[in-house]
Amino acid sequence: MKKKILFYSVYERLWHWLQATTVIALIVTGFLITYSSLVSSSGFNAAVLAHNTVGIILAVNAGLALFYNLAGGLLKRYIPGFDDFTTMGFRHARYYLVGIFKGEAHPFEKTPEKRLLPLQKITYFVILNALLPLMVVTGLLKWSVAIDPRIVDHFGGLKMLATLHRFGAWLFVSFLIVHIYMTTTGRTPLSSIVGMITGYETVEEENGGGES
Amino acid sequence: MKKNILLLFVSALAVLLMPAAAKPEVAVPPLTFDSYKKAPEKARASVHPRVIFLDKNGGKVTETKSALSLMRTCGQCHDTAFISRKNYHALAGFDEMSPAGKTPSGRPWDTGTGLFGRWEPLTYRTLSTLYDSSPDLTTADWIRTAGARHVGGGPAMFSRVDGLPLDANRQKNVRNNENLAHDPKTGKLADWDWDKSGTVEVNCLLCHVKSPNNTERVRTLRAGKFRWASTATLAGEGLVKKTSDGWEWNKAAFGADGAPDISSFEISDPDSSNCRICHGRACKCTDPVVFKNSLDNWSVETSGEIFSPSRISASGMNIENKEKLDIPWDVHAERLVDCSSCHYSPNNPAYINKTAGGRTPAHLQFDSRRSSINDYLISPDHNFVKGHTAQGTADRRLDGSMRNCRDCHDAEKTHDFLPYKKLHFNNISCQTCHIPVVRAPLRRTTDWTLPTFGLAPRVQHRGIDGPVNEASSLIYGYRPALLLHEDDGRYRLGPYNIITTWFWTEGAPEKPVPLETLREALFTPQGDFRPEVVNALDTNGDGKISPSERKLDSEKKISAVAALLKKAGVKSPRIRAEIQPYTLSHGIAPGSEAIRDCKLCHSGKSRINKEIVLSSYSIPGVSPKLMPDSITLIKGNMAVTKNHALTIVQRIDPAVLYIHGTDRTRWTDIIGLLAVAGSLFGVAAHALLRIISARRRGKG
Repeated sequence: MKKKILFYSVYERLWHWLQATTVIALIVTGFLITYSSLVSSSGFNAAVLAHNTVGIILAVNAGLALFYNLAGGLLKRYIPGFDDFTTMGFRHARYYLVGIFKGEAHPFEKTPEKRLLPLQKITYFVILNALLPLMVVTGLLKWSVAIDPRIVDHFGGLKMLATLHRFGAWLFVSFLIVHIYMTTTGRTPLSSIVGMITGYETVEEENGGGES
Repeated sequence: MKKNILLLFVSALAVLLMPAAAKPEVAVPPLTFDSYKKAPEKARASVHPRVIFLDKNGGKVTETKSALSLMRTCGQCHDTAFISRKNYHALAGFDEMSPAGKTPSGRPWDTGTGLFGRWEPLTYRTLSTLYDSSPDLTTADWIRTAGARHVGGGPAMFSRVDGLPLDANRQKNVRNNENLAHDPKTGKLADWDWDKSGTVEVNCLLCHVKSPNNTERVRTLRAGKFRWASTATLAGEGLVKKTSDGWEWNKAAFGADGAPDISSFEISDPDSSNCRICHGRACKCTDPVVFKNSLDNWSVETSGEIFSPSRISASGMNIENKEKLDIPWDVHAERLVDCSSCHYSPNNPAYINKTAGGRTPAHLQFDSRRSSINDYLISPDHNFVKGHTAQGTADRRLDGSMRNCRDCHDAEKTHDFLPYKKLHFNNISCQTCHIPVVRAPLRRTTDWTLPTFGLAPRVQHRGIDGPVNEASSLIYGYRPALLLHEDDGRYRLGPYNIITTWFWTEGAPEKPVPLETLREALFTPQGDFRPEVVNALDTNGDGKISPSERKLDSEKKISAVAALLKKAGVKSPRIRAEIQPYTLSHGIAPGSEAIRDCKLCHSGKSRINKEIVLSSYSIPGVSPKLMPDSITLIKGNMAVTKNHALTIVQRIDPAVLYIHGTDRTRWTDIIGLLAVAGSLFGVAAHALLRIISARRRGKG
């Protein structure tokens, strides 16, 4: 029996789509700054301005989300346990490598409280604790030269920061590709995306599954 | 009655309003210097008191009929000993001499850092060491040759052996290159009599009178009449006249006290036209600019700098799109800034620089302690403040002593279009964007390896289509090469001209082959190239060497010339090549003309890493080296293009200066692209397998 359950609060949805928009905008503007021959001089200047502005929005949004999850005691959702790395993680991986092609049922039930499945937990743990901070910190340090060009000298200089920032950007693009694709592995190809828009996801009473 | 009163009222109102209505509207011209057709003449101060003209011994020149001594004459009030001692224009590296090969230039034959002791590749002249048996320039030769660009004093007065006056008459019997000179007629070395020639004192008149006669000064120096150089500078003022054997004072022009009427030649502080005498005679400040490239016009030849308020569109030069260039050659010159406004005396109380020398406590916003006008006028420090230039190799300790652009201009209040203002101002000199194009031909290459019989090198210029100094040649301008230079312990990007010089050297320790030796080796006494040279270089077979054939661009040609040099007694001849950058600091464009196109630097085709042509041809096996005393960095790969031009493609180390849009770390992109490609491939394969398996399951 199927039923609709509220998975994502209004704030969570707003946070997600704002984050998605800013990440895409940062990738696009960052690409234009890097490959500036694709744009006019004024376009380059606009890309720099947009990248800085959107970067600040993303950093603030990330900070608010941290506060929301800390204050709401929701942070543990994102912390993978030992099982997530071992038995449950393997089961989850096996499903995507084998089970999904055989039409097997998803091995884990997804509930609003346990919305992140083992591989998701591990992925988001890395994204939120390493990649996102890396991008925010290197981005802010790069931006700090507008205030005092000497600040970056204490952090390996602009070359080091730019290299790390750029490396992180490539990883974000890779994550985005996989992330968007994984939304199609839900009950229907669009159910996860619709769920993140409406907040509701349809689940089998006995079994869950699908992820993003 | 009412009607009449109304009529009267209307008439009165009309009369009252009439003057206002009839008054024509007058357009008030904007109060800017643009309104002037010509820059106004600088008002000359004529407050200088009368001066008694004295000779070296303190006698009145009108009575002793001797040469004018400015050390004694000006020394009546000013501390001329201090002025000549604190004066890098006079010392010209004299105070920084060291044994050959120990100077910052790294050249084995250089003995100094400035005009005195540092080989000048544009003129091919160098001061020889004291005991060089085949000297290029002895001390007296140096004064006759380099004196045209030397103010006197320093090495033109004192011995490099013991610092005593050259005419002190105590070393006559010592046969070294301080007591010898080349006879201009025979070219042979002969004894030089300092008693007869006298020495060259610091010539105050060159900078402190309105129209010094530099032509006569130089003629007098070249004639070896050093003592009379200062006197000759007054030629044409009615005080002195040239005679067959020297100069004669016009007693009628002097008062009974021995002082002339100085209003005729106006003693004052220097203005830009005085500086132009040596630094570049591009123009008279107020006239439309017309110039010729030559070493007499040093600044234009080396860096294309024209410090004039005149409009480029009004110039007499054949400049591309000139009619659209309604801008001054230099915006500071247009705004009546002159040379001494920036290159002032460091102890001038009006220009006290708080940061100079770092001797004032950091918390002190204003230091009211300063020398009095009286003290300053007695002992003005003539070590004028200066910036950081690649070519200003003498007295580097004074580099950066002048106020920089931002001491006068608050750049952050403007430049609203520019993101990361502080970073840009920190890493880039203002001139980088404010000298967008140099609209004058500049020297690119000097090739001394095969000079003419008249000992002229083969010279190439940048920024001109056609031969230089020909009216039909179009000056299209030069977008300066951007190089990193050392500035207060960090590197900043700035605009440069780069001059490459090729020349023959010999022996160990190495030194340039004298030009006379080259002439004897390569030419017949009649002035024709020797047959060996013609055989090697005559590519079109007409039996002559045309100007375009006069280059050593193959091993065969080099070997032919080297063989002739060996035959002429040159030991182990080899070709050496140097790169001397010239910092561009003048010729500042108005803000409207400054570069605002970010992509000129921030793109894959950045002008920072562009190809710089060093020469239209290369000499095989000789790679030009950057002069190490130029405080400049050029790193990149030299290459010979399809057109045989020698180029360098600069690659600025991103660790020194990281430029977004231009610099990237290759491995980051490789790994990143692999990650993205892997992700795309992975999801595509996964999706495909899902579709296939779903269909199979459906069929099952």
